[in-house]
Amino acid sequence: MASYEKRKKELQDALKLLETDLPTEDTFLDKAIEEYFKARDEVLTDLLELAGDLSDNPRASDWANKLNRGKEVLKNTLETALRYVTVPSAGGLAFQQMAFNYENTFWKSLEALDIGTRRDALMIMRKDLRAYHDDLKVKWEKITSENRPLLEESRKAIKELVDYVDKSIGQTAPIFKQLQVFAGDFNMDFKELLKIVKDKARELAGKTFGEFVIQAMRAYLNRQQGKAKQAVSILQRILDEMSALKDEYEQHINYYRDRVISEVRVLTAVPQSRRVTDEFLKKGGVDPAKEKYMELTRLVERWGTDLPTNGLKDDAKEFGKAVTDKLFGHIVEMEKSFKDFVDQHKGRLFGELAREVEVEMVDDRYAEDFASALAGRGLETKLREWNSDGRRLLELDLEDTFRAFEDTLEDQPEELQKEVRAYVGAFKNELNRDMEEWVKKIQSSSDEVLAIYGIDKFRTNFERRKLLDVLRGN
Amino acid sequence: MSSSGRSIIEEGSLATGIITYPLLDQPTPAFRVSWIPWDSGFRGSGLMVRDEIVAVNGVPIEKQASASWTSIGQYGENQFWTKQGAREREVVTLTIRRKQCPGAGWATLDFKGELRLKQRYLSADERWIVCPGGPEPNVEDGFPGAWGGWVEELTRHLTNVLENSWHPRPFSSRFELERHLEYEARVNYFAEHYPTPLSAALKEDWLTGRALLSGRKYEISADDLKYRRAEEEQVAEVAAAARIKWDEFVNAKAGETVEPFPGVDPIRGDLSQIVGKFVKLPPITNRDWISEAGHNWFVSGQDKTYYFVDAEAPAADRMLLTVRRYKRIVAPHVRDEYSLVCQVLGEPRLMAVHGQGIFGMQAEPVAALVGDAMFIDLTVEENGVSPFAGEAAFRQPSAALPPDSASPRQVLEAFVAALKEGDQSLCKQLFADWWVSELSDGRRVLNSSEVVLTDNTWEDSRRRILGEVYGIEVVWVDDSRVLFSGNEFEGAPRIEEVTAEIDHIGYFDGEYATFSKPSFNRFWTLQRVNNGPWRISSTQGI
Repeated sequence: MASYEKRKKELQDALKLLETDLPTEDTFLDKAIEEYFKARDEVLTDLLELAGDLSDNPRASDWANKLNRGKEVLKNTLETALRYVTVPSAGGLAFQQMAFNYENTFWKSLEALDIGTRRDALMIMRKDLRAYHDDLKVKWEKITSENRPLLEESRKAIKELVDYVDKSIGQTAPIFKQLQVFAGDFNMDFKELLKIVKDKARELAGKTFGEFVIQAMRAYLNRQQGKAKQAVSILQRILDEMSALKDEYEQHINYYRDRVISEVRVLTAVPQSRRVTDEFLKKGGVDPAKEKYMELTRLVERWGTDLPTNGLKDDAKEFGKAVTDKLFGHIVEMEKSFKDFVDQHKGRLFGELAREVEVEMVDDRYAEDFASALAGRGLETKLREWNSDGRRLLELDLEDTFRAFEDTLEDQPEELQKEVRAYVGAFKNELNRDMEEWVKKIQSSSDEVLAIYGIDKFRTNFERRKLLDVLRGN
Repeated sequence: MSSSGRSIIEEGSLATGIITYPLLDQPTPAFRVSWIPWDSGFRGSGLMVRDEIVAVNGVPIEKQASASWTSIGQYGENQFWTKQGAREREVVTLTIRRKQCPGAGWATLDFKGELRLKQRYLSADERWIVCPGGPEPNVEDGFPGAWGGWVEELTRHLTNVLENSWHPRPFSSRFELERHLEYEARVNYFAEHYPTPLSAALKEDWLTGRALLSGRKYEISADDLKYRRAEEEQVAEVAAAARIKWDEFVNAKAGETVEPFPGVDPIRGDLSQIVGKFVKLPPITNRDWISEAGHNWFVSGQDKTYYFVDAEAPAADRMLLTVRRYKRIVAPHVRDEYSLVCQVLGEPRLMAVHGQGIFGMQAEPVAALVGDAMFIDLTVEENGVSPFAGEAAFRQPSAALPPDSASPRQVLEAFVAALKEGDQSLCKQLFADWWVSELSDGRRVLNSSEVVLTDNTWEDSRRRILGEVYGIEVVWVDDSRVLFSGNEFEGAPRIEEVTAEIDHIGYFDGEYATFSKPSFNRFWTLQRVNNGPWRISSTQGI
């Protein structure tokens, strides 16, 4: 049992110096001092045990009861030390009143420190931290168990869509082939024509050759015009085919969007819980617990220096140190609980969000990978080529053809060259008018298909970075 | 002397004629005026019974005067004046202090009056009479008892009434008033049939006594008496209003209300069906409260559908404050059962409920029926308060622990307010936790014992304030006096004390007026230590 003897000795020394006319007063006072300080030691020792109790039981009322016991002891000893002296001496009464009043101050000032309540506050902080630790565990389990199937469903939706694009491309593949065959035919026919014209140039001359060239050109160009029309209609068929699949494509997108809405609701719980954690730790973490402890330590120190006599100060300092040491046990326990808390929740519902958690929860690369894969299918490139290069595909090839054809006339008379060029020019203008119309139509169709199947559209529809923002609470 | 008779002067009887009571042990030694006879030189001077004479002709009364039977108003006063060589009709100045009631402290005043010789009176036919023009002492005029004895008896009665009424002793004002009124007929007869200075003075004193015993008049409004309504009556009244208002509220919201259970899945469901809509949740009890990180929530769940109501959000906070107010001003108990109408908010919330992670919808309360006893429309708010239905009919709580700087009057007023509101805990806090006793030789001793307001005292006081006492007013506060200067012993505190006086207000003949009974405590002491807060140091109830 601890012993706080300094004030006792101080009083005993003072009593020895007290000169009263009533020897019985000395005896009464001496006895009261002995009894009181013995009981005071017991009470203070019991208080230390209460302060150091690391159980989850509240001890504030026990602390208050024990303090009341101290005051009761004071009342039964020093306060009533002279009750059997009918008319106490002035010195005796002043000594009794001083001793009683200072001890009364000791108990009242100790009571004002409210250490029992403060011990309970530390205990409750630790208990709350453990409870919140458990709460976060179940919350995280719930978040991941709800998120996992949704994430799978979203992944599946993305994959299905890419599969669907593949399927669309597959369906249009034969038509593509037709288009390629057509382009080959076009060039082949023209080479044959050039050979014939060159041969004829050697056989024929002058006007006859000119007529032949014009007739050959007319026949050739008429045929090419028909083929061009056919090529345009093939291209149009591809585009119409892809456009017709738009509804099915949209259904896939809507399904995915529904999954994302659900994912958002689940992921929202992460920043929501992280905010609660931040708020909780501001008030209930280790640092606030330490602040409370430090505040109490300062109060206890001040208590030790504010008391009126050296004996009281020494006793208070000794008790104060012992009680703050006991209370530090709560901080040690709190730190252990906090370490468990950090180990369990760091990167998830506490601290900086870990990248692996982001990947686990959102898988933001998934859609991007598919977008790249989709880009690899070349559909968009083709659509863009048709769109922007349509005119060149048809028009420039013809220009080259006309130029190559004109080259065959360079040895012919000037007049013939003029006549042939006039004919070709008129034909070219007619063909260009048709081409203009076809190119516009193809451009419009390919724009429409691009708007559905384009990579940008895909990226917009399947962007998962916004889920990352939700997860991060941005 | 009138021609109809003559007077006989008692030689050597020169005096003020007043009668006093010595108060020489008090901090300001004095003689209290007990009676001013009709023939005293101070009659009509402004001097009043209960004035405390602190100086005569500028000479202060001293403590040792206790031995002097020749002091002012004492039976040997004439010897003092004779010794002084005073003459008849010499003017004497009395300095008095008079209680400033209603009010605080004392006023110091000077009054002048003549010294006179005592006289006895004979009628024209040389018979003793009680005063010039008055009856012979042994004549009865049909009354029981002769005039001489009656005048003496009335004088004793009036002395007692004027000097001692309302002051610290067992005193029943209404009983004394009844006794006083018994004198009325003869006082009037005396004044009418023997119109003399004596009869006029006695009638004047009798009327003063009647006014004194009838008590100070007060105006008390119905609002002041709201605290008195019977608890059962109040509870029934509020509960009836609650049910009506709850039904009205629920009906008014019916068009926008959806069934809460089974609800929409907060993750995969179509929340547009419920967000912004109202749900009427079944009663939520204490067991349905959860604390998440020290933050409280009401939880209502069925069939895997959960609603979370933030118990610390403004609306819920107002609701809980209102419940607390109800407990203070209507009844201390109300079943902790909350039926709520809530508006469903847009964002689901994940909570750990009894060890399970649960997604639910957040909801904000807009109305509450608490314990089937009180209704709160939370859409109504004024200065952070949502009143319960019927609250306007109640007196608002005013009791609160006054600031440390509060005056003794304010502390007592806080005590009265807390008593009316039934706040025993607050009342207890207003009592001192120290006690100053006195040894037989007058030395003061400081004790730690708490001044306790016992449960019995509390209950008696409550019974009174809900029964025959309709109000209490602090009418007077004395100047403070020092009990411990701080120099009595090493470390002694400075302790001051004041006395305060309260009026108990009763209801008599259609009027509210002060009254007192032997068991009432009209006088209170309050103390403070080292300039700390004033606390009641009388161990008593009202």
